[in-house]
Amino acid sequence: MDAHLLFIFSAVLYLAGAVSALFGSPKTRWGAYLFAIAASLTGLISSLLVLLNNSPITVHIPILQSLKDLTPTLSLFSNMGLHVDALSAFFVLLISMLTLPVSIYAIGYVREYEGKKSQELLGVLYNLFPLSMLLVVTANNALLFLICWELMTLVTYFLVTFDHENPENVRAGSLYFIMAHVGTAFLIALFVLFYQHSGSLDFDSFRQIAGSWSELPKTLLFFFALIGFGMKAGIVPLHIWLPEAHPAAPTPISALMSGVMIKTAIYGLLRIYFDLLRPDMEWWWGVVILALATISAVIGILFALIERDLKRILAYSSVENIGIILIGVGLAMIFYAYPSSVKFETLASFALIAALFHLANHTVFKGLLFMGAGAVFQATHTRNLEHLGGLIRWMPWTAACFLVGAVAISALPPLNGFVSEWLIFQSLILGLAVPDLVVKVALPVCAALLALTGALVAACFVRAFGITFLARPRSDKVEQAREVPLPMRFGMAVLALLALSMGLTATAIVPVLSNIASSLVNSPGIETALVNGTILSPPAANHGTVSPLGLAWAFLFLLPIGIWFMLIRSPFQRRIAPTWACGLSTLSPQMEYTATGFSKPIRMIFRSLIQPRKEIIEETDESSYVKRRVRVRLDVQSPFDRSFYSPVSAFILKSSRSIRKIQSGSINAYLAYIFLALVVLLIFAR
Amino acid sequence: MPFCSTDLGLTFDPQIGERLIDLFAAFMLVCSLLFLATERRRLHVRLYAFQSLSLAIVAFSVAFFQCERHIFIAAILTLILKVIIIPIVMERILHRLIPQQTVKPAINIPASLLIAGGLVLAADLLTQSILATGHQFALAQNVLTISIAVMLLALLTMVTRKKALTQVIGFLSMENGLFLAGITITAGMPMIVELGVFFDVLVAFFIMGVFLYRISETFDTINLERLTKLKH
Repeated sequence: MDAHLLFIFSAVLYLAGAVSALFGSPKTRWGAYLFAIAASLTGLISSLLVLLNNSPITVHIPILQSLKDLTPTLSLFSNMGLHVDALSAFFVLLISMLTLPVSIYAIGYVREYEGKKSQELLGVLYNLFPLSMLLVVTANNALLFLICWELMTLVTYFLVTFDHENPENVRAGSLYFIMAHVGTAFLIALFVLFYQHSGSLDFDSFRQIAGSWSELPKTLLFFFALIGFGMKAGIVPLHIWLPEAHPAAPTPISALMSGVMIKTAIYGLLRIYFDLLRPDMEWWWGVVILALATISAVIGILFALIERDLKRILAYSSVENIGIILIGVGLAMIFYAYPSSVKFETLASFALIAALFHLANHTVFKGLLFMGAGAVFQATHTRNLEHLGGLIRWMPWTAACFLVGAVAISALPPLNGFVSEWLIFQSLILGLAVPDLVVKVALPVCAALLALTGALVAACFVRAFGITFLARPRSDKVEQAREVPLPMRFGMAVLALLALSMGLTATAIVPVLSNIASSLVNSPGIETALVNGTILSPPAANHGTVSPLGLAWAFLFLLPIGIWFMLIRSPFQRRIAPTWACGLSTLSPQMEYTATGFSKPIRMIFRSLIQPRKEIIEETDESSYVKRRVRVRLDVQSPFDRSFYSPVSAFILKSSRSIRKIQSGSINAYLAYIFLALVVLLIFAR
Repeated sequence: MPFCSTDLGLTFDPQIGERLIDLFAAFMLVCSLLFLATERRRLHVRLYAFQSLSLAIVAFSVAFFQCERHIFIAAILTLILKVIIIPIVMERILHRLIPQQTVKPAINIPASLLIAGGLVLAADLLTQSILATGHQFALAQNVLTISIAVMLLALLTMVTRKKALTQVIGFLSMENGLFLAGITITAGMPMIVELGVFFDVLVAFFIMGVFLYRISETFDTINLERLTKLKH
C-alpha cells in the first residue's frame, strides 16, 4: 500500500468527518466519530509504513502550490507542503494510535451531551483537532506550521470552553488562550529570526544555513523555542494553564490534549534542536532543559498528589511526565553536543530512544487514565475524590482498565511505563561518562529526584485508584452509578491491552525508535547493541540489562507458587472478621481514609514548597462549648502564581488602565487620531 | 459602449479636455467645502449627489478624451450608484429618522473652514513634493491637489461633525476623492480594482445605513456623543 496516498486519505477523512457532523441528524450523531476512526486507522497504517520502510513521503497541497504561483517574487513559500520523515511519522503514529480508541470511546461518551449541547459543534471540532495536530507535525514550512499551530490552539480553546455554562471552564479557556498566544508570540519571533538569516520560511532553507549561527542569535533561538514550545508542553513555570484547561474539556478531548497535544510541543523542540539547529547545538542547552525537566517532574507530581479532582490529578501528572520525557531530551542534547574528543553520539541516541519510548507510553496510559476518569465522571457526575469510593463494585470494567493505567504510569513491570523509565534511568547513569563537573554533579541529583518522582507517582495513583474505586461509597452519587456503555469500555480496553503489549514487546519497539533517534543525531543505529533476543541492554555492556518479556514469564511462573504460599501453606489462614470501628458499633463511610488525609504526610514534608493554608471555622451555639459545625478549609496556592503570575498580571492591568485613557469611546476622537496621523505623515514623511 | 473622440474621428484641442476635467474637479472641491459650511442634512445629501455627478463627468471626460474605454463603465456605475441610488436611499433614511434638535459641531463652521483652507494648501504642498520626485501624470496636476484635498476635507468633516449621517456622507465623499485620484493619475486603475472599490462602497453604505437605524432606534438620536455610553 502507498503511504503517501493513505496519509492524504487520513487528512481528507478527518475533513469529511468535520463536514458530516454539520449535516448529521441526531440519530447519526456518531457518524462523525466513525470518520475519525477511519481517518486514524489510515493515518496509523500510513505512518507505520513510513517508519518500517524508512522512506519519507512529501505531500504537496495544490492550493498552496497555486498560492506560490500567484506570488512568484516571494521565496517565502517556495516549498510549502507536508513532509513526513521518521520523526513526523512517529508523531503521526501517536496521534492516530490515540485518536482511534478515543473516537470509539467518544461514541459512547457524547450521549452525555445529548439534548444539552450542540452535537454538531462537538463533532466538527473533534475531527478538526486531530487533523490540526497531524498538520503541525508534518508541516515543512514555518508559516504553514504556525497556521496549523494556531488552528490547533483555537480548536482546543473552543473545546475547553465547550461547556461554557460553567464559568470556571470559561476562565480556564481564557487562561489557556492567553498562555497559548504568549507561546505563539515566541514561536513567531523564533521563525522570524530564522527567516532573517535564511531568507525563506521553508524548513529546508533553515537546514541549509544550520551551522552558521553566531552566539547571540543562537542563544535567542534556544530560549524562544524553549519558552514557545514549553508553554504548550507545560514545563513547570509555564504549566499553570494545563491543570485548568485539560479537565475543563469533554473527556475524549482531555485524553487527546494530555495524550498527544502537549507532545506536539516536544515534537517542535526536537525538530528545532535536533533537526534545524543540530550542528549549532550547545551542551549547556541540555543542562537547562534537564534542570527544568527535573523540576517539572517533581513539582508536577507533588501538585497531583494534593489535588482532589480526578481529572486535575491526571493533568498535573502530565506535567510530571513531560518532565520525564524532557529529561531524556536534555540528556541527549548534553551527550550530542558535549565538546570533547570522545563523541557520545551512541549515548545521545540511547537517551532519545528512552525519551521517545516514554512519550509513546505516556500517550497510551494517560489516554487510558483520562478515559477512566471520564467514565467515572459520566457515571457519578462528580470528579471530586472525596465523593467517590467503592466504584469497583458498580464499574468493574472501568476499574480494571484504570488499574492497568495506574500500574503502567507507576512504572511497574511488565507494563510499558517500566521499560521507558528504566531506559531513562540507564541513560542518566551512563551519562556519568561525560567528563564534566557540572554533568557529574547534575546527573546524580537528577536521578535521585527522578527516583523520588517515581515513588510519588506510585503514591499518587494508589490514592487516585484506591479512593475512587475501593472501600465504601463516600456519597450517594456512587450508588446510582452504572457501568459505562460498551463503546467506552471497548476504547479503554484497547488502550489497556496496548499498554501491556508495549511493555512485553519492548524489544521490537526499540529498533523502530532507534531508527528515528539515529536520524535525529545523524549516527548509525544502535539497535543491535541494544536488543539481544528479548533482552534490552544499554550501550555499555557492564551495566544492567532487562527483559520485559522474561519478567512477564517469570511473573506468570511465580504466580502459582505465590498463590500456593499465600492460600494453602500460609501460616496465616484467611479469616473473615469485622473491621475494628474504634469501639463504635457500625462502620460508616465517614470513617474512611479521605483523599486529603491520604496526602497529608506529603503535604507536611513539602510544606515549604507547596505552602498549604488551613483555615478552621467553628460555628458554635449559644455556648462556645457546644460546637454546631466545624469546617476546615484547606487550599494550596501555587508558588508560581504568587511570586510570578500575580505581579505580572497586576502590572499588565495597571499599564492597560493608563493606556485606556486615550480610549474615550467617542467616534470623533478616533477619527481625529486617524486624521492627525495622516496629516502628520503626509507632511513629514513624504 | 459609447465611443471616444478618436472613434468618432474628431480631434480636439487637448486643452479642452483638460480644462473640462479641471472645472468639474474644482466643483468637487467646492462641494467638499460646502459640506463643512452647512449643517443641513438634506443639503448634505444633495451636495453629495452633485459631487458624484461632477465626478462622473470627470470620468466621462477622461474616457472620452483619453480614449480609456473601460473608464466608461466606471463613469456609468458612478452615475447610477452615487448620483441616483445612494442619494435616494439616503433621502428615505432621512424621512424615517426621528427629527431632533441640532447638534453643535466639535469645531464651529468658520474655524473649520479656516482649517479647510489650510488643508487645501497642505494638499498642494504635498502635490508639489510628489511632482518634485519626477513623476509624470497623465492629467493636470491640479486634479491631484484637488483629490487629496477632497479626501482630507472629508476626513475633517467626519472628525468635526457629531451626527452619524454626516459621518456616512464624509466617508462616501472621501471615496469620491480617492476615485478622482485613481482615474486621473493612473488614467484608470485595472477594471477589477475599480469594481471592487464600487462594491466596497455599496456594502459599506448599506451597513452604515443599517447602523443608522439601529443607533436612531436605540438612542432616539443619531448624535454620536451618546455612543460613549457603550464604553462602560
